[in-house]
Amino acid sequence: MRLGSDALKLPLSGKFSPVEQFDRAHAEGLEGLFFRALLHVSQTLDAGELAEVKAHADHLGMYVEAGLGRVNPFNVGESPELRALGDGDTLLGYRRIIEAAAAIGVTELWAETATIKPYGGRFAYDRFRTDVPWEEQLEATIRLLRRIAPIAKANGIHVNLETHEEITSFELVRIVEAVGPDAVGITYDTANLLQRVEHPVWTARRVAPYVRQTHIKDAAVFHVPDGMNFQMRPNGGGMVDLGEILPILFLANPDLNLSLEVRDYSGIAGLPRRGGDRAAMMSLYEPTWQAGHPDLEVPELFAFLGLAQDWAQRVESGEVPGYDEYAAAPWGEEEAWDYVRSSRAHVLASLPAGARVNS
Amino acid sequence: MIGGVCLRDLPGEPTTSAELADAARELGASVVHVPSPEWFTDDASALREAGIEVAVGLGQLTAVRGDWIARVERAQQLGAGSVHLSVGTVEHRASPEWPTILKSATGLLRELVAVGVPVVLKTHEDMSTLECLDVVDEVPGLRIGYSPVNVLVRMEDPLLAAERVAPLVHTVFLDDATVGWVPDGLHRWMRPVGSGSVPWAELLPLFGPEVPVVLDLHRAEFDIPFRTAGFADGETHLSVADVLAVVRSTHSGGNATAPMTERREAGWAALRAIHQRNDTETPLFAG
Repeated sequence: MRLGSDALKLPLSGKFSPVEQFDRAHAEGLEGLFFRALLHVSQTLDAGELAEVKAHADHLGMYVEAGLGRVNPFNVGESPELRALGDGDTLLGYRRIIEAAAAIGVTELWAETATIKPYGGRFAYDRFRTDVPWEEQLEATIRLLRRIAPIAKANGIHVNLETHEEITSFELVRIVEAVGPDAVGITYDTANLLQRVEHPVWTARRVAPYVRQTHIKDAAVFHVPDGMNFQMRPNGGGMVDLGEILPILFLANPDLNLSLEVRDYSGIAGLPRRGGDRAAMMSLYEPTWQAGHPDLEVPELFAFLGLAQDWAQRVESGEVPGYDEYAAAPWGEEEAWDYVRSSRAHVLASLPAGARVNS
Repeated sequence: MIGGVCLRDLPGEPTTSAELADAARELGASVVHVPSPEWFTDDASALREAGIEVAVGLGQLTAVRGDWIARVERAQQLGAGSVHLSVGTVEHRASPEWPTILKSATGLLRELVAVGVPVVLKTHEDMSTLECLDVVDEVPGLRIGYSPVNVLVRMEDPLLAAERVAPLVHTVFLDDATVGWVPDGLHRWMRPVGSGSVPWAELLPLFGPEVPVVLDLHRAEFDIPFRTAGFADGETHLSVADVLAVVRSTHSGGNATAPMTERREAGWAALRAIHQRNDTETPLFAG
């Protein structure tokens, strides 16, 4: 297993070209980059640019992963570049990305079903849109993926939907099985589904057979009167037990690349954390929220609550900072790189025996 | 609304029906619960003459030996308006014999109902309301005594549980509690009526005016060890909604059992308020 990073999330990455980003990552001991969109590697999907970046990565011995983007027809419009790539034909836009990735030997393309929105409570998540029910969004996503699947298969590509904050692992597995694991897989973000009240290890067991890309991340949840809030922490500093999860992933796919996803740092020091001043991100006491999680069963809820309680005790004892204390702590470039380095170190220390052979 | 009180929660320690009637009258209680038909050393006429209804406890089906039918008949002779019982304890529930215990209890309950005195199965800490309803399905005529502080021990939301059983409820038991975090899960602490997490303001309107509200101050705290292996296996009645409602309640009230003196004072004040209410529009508890 090789350990790299989401390219976009490394500190100040937006100021550097893709080639420079590989150099920076390499200097940090990272073994690959996962570009959320292939368009981040070349804004025009220029074959020469893409090949140059891939060649540079190969020279450094680093992996390259990339992304397709949104695949939920009800929010694809939030990425107008997809349709523009196809000159108005969205499916052609997807095809062009897939073919461009295949041409440089990138076989795994990340995708997502939605992006978090700047609203409070459950409305931060598209699964609670009131104009189109989530079930309809999922059905439409499957239909679109079934149209993308032949293109992906013909090019040797897998489109890997992320365990993103709006979707559950149950739903993702159903999508993969409906479209076909020969074309669709999962990008496993190890912390996001705390927001769906899933126990990270239970999630890992469910998705492991289909995981082809990763965001290795940690986080914690905090009880508030109207639910819970979610806050990212460096790997090893939250509730996610990578020591349990990584062996599960290794067993299913020993060649899986592990990509850190670290806390944003875009150069603006002290920016308040998104969501810090809104209604509870996990409004789990609301009947609407509960009805929106039909796969959540009591045994996993118990395991999740136990995990949250262990964390709460660590906060109470002062072993780890609480939500407000952490949000108020200095957050500049130095802290951002400390986050990357400590996260990397923790992942390396959590890998099972044999995972680093051939890395 | 009719107020009632359990013998052990009365001021003083009445030992005769006359003393019991006096103590109940002082609180405005119209119903008294005595722990067993064996408590009476007289014929309970003082209570009948005072217009106070007697409810007789029969204990736990697993604990009390003897002729149950004879005990119910004795209660009937005393003029009891109902007899109340539960099946067992949390230890019985955790034992492999629990299904057998429940089956045996169901059979006995059919015989007791046939005597003709209303038989009331209390939502004790060993059984959820859903399990009580299963028993009622098997025993037509059986009624339910609803204790919201006990359903917390089975991780049921007191309000959701009340809605489940309301049509079958014979008696509501008045007490309060909070639930808080402990290493193995949750724990129930007892609190003065009105200062715990039981939503009495929302609960009471679910029951008709003929349903007595009986002060019953529980003595035991209980663990709700949901983090122990296998706990969920024995709790197939649980729902996500119930569990989260109980978890939400951990944010209110104190995490300690209040002194009995405080609890009694609050309970007696609630009983007097029930008695003095002549306006059913005014909530008894603040919502």
